[in-house]
Amino acid sequence: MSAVLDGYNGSRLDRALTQGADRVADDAGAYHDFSGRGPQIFVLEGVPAAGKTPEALEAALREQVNRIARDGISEAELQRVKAQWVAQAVYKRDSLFNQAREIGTYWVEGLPLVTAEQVKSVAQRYFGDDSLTVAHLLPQPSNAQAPRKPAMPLRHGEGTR
Amino acid sequence: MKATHKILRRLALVAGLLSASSLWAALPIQHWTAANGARIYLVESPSLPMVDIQIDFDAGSRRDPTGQAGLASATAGMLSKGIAAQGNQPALDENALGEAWADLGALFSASAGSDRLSLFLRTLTVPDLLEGAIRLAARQLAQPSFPAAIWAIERDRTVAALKEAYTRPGTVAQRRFAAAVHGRHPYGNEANEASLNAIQVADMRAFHARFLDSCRARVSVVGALNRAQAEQRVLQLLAGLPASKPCPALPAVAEVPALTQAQTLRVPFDSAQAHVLMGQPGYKRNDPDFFALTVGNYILGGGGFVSRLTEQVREKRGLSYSVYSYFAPGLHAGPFAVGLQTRPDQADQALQVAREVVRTFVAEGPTEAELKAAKDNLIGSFPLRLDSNRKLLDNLSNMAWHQLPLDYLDTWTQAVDRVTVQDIRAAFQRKLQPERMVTVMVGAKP
Repeated sequence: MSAVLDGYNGSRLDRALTQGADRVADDAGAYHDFSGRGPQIFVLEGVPAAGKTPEALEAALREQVNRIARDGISEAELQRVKAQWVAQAVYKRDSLFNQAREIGTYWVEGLPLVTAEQVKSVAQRYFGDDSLTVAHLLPQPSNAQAPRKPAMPLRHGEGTR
Repeated sequence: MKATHKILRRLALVAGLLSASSLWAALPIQHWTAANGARIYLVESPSLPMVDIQIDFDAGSRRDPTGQAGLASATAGMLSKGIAAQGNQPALDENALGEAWADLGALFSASAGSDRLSLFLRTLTVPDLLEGAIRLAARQLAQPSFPAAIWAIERDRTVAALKEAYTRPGTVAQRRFAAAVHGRHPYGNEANEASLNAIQVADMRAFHARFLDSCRARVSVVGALNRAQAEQRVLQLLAGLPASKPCPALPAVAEVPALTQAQTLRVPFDSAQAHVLMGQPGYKRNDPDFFALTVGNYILGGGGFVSRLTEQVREKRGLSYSVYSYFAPGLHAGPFAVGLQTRPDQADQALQVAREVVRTFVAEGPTEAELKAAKDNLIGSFPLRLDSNRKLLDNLSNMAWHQLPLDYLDTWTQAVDRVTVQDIRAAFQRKLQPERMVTVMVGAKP
């Protein structure tokens, strides 16, 4: 899912968020560390374009997840992501360090079995608001004399912020 | 789609058969000049079904026209933003191009440093993928469409990133330092909003047409290709570029002038840590003092926790987490710099200590014990500089660019071992003038 969103130039986040004169973001990304044993964080992030609010960017990022949950991904996208992964599995062997790191992980063997339907199902099951944390970093004045904007009150639990 | 399935199956097979070892016993570097004038450097590395290719042109930022700092980088960046139609080959926009590379499982990138504009291709050598990657790279190299609407957006994004970078004291210090050390030389001339606004796509086309000529290409190849295959693929890659005969010489770029006096810039900045940089123009990469300066700088401030600067500034006085020194030699005398971060009210004290360390080192050189430890580390860790195709490619392209002898890597450890205390002292006295350095302090509070 992170590769479909942000795995190559022209992937979904590029097309939907960072292109065109009316783009919502100057930069947008998605990543997920799937090698840990426990639950891992899936991160969506971005920098709003001039004149766009962080809220608009947040909504645009959420919409891309919702789109996958609603409509799934195409077979072409799935095959593209798999082609990249298999090539990267060869490239990784170029580094001794990576070889050491990879010992004991056999994830690449499971990848060719991933289906478009599974990606859609994951988008539906794991991306609810009850497991979501949202952070906005706002610009601060660099001059010590100017008053700083108060930090956004941190809330935890239900709600989106 | 069917083709992709087939490729996937074949690759899974290949991946299963690979041995884990790709270490080098010796470095057989092959070098020749192709008919189009390109100088080719090859290391055959058959253990993995992949190849890395780097093409370097004399089109780095030192070739940016006055008032258009950033043109080389912008031109390199825009190479990925679309290719024009030619013959029966359709135009591809940036998204189609991104998808095509992803479908091939290959990587292609272009970037500009201060000396070179570099193109990097990494692809599998499975025949149809290799063919597809070389064809696509060749088109991207020769027929970029430089779409004006995309450049307008890229420019906005670059300006936004610059503004963001300037909220960080480290960036401000680096910029001021580069400008003060290099004066009007292009090495000190970094892109800003005004210079980016002065760049149009027509300038990129002209820059591309002028500087990207096969006759000046330096091509480094590391991977599962033999000499005949490498030659064929390199010619294919460069086929769409001009191959001028004779190769027109490019205008010489002036050298970095030496500093005439000491200068200290104090830049107010409200930051938790003050950033301090001190230095001067260093030396050119082809300087015969290269090894003495490399070993000497390891002792002075390049060797991390065992360097003199770390010992004096951090270990003995606790003034800084990090303090370092480096040389960045290129075709011209890139900077020598000492850098540290410290609490704002300690910046002057930390600077005094760092200055004293540099002064003493230039006057006296290292001790025999320091020299021995530095050599042990540099020679002992040398294999780690070559333990992947990617690192080999970096070394090979460096040799190609600076026209280093073909046995450069084979004799590297011997050259380090030959350096003496006297060599280091003499080299540092030739290159560094502690009484005429630039100092930049950002966020220091006296």
